[in-house]
Amino acid sequence: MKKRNWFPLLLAPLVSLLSGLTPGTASAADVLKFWTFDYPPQELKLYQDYVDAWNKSHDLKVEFQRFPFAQYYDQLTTSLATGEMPDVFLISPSDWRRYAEGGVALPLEGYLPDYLKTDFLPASLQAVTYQGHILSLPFEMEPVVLWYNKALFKANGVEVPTSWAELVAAAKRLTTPDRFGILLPTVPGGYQNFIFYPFLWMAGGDVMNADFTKPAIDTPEAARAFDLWGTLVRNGYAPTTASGGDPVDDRFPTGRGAMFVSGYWEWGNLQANYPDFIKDLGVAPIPPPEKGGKLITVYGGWTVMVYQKTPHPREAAEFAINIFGAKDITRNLLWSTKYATKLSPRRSVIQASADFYKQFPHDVFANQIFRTARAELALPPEVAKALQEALQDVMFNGVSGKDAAAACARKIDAYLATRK
Amino acid sequence: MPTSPRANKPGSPPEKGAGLGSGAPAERARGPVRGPASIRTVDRDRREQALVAYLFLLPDVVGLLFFLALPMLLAVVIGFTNWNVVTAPQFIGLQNFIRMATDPLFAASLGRTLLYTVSFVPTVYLFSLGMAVLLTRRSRSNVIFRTIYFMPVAMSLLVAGVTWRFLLDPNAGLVNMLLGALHLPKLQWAGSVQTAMLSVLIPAIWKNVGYFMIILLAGIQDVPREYIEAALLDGASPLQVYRHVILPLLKPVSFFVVVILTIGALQTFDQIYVMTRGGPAYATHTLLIYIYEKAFKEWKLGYAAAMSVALFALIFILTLIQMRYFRADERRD
Repeated sequence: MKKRNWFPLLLAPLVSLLSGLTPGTASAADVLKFWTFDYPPQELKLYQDYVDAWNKSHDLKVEFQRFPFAQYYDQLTTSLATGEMPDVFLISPSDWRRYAEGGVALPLEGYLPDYLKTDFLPASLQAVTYQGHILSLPFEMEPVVLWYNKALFKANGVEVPTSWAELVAAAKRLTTPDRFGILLPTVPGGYQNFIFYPFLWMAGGDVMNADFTKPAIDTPEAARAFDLWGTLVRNGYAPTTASGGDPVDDRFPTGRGAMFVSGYWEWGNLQANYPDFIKDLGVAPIPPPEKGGKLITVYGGWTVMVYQKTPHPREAAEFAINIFGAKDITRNLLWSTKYATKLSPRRSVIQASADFYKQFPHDVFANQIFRTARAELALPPEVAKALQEALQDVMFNGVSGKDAAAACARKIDAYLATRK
Repeated sequence: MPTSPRANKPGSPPEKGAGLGSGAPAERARGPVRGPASIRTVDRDRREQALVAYLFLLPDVVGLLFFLALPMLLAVVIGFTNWNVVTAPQFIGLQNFIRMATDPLFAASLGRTLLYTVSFVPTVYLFSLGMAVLLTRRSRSNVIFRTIYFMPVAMSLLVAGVTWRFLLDPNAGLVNMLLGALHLPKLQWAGSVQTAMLSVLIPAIWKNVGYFMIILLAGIQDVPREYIEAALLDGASPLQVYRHVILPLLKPVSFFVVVILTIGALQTFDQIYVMTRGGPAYATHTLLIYIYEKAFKEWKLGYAAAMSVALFALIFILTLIQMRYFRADERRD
């Protein structure tokens, strides 16, 4: 009798299964998960060194994961939906509110050491406080300014603008077929809103009232700010398309943009990629609507948040606080003055880097800009989207500032009605 | 020699009994007459072979069920809920679908998606077909051209997006420089609501034509030489050969190409997101971008899932219509 060969029967599912397997990471046992997006190598090394030092001195190890910037928030959202959130992660002001309102963040005030409570600038802690709880820790502040090309200004007899009328006139004067007078962000999104805030605030407008219960944007002041952006784009003084990523724009250092509304981070880009341009670089506050008006700008900057449902709240809070909140401020100094150019929200760091802030352009930021800076608005996404639509309408659809502001207010009202 | 072109048409279903595991036993069964013991052995062999085949397929079937069918089913279920990621989903019946019917942004995004689809599908199909026809002849130069036309397919989406952003730059772009040299008005491309859709369509067409050209080329080369020679002997011109011999025989391939293009166009996301993020002023804001924003920016997973279900239904219905059209056309032939 023929002997039955069971081998193929046993092998079949195994081979088929193995062929579909891909190498994966070992399952994390009892660890703290820490997530960031991909920073440049030096900045990433700073995090990695901290994680390595922690892992040498603590039983509860930290697993450090980085994600491409474009996927970082999607990854967080997916993890939130599946209950696989990291214990510690970075969050930006533009997304901070929905995490705060959603109860995702662990209140940190109970874990903060006394020296740190007094070391933080009060406004920086206020910006991350929700219903009396400190829900994340700031570690950098990047104000927005008006960068300008001194050589082009001189060649065209243009002075640094001190009012919106002068800004439009300067942009007009500096615009040629090959060059824009001023570079503003064009892509709809949180970044465009962020750059718009100083204009809105200096005009006397705002997006919502202080407790986020009513729209505050349907005002002549807000309309005026919208109209300024509409004027600059519709007249061709500002571009209609982005050049690469919005936060940096190579049209500025290459002479194809005479002014550039951007943040402190631009200095790092210029130093690294356009060192020859720095001799022509000028920096000034964004002008107010009227000469002599109150200067206001905005600052952004990421913060560290701890997941509310972490199984290790004490260790996660300790890890998060000590990234940039340790008594030893070496990491903060490297972060603020060497690897990147940021202002620290800690008094001790600012004092320790006094010499650094005497040099150009840091002196302008430290002495002129920073004292006029407000924290970025942490808007609910629906409100942020209404603002984006208003900006896009004035820039590209020929809508007046008044109509755009009114439409924006209606959308905010509609959103607030759904919350009730 | 086949009596009708239909007998050898590309894509025709195989003959009955030509499937997996049936060939060898069938041949054996047609051999010399065997006794009951031999028949039992044959039956047992066939059962074993079928069992092995099913066991090989089992992990893939389980994988498909788990990673494809289950998420699709879950998307439908989530579509009936209000889920903001941080709290548990609440069943809200048809509210998401009712909201969709009254949401002007949904209607506008769907409208833009359909506009993109009706512009993209015929253009890519006609260009691919035209190039496939031109490059059918086997020659060294044609091989070079086929490779050149196929190259955009191999290029990463990000590189293609950045390249075309430079080419279509309103101020420093090569395309506007050429328009200027020809004394034609320069366009704002992605910087204007009027031309933004065109500026995302051009790279998409450029990137896809090469791939579908290869598929149509394979279809054309599959047409039996006998038919073409017979038509030529009967005095048909090359154009008539294409019109009356090759194109009718190419219908199954064309159907495949049109269906895949339609599905791809309705699901377009990456390239537009890289190039314009749906701007300016939402001129390129397609349905998938809207779904993505609702899910990942606003955490409205229930509504986003409901819109995904609606998009799936739209694709399904359009595919059925296309299928019926092609079949009816085939019957007429």
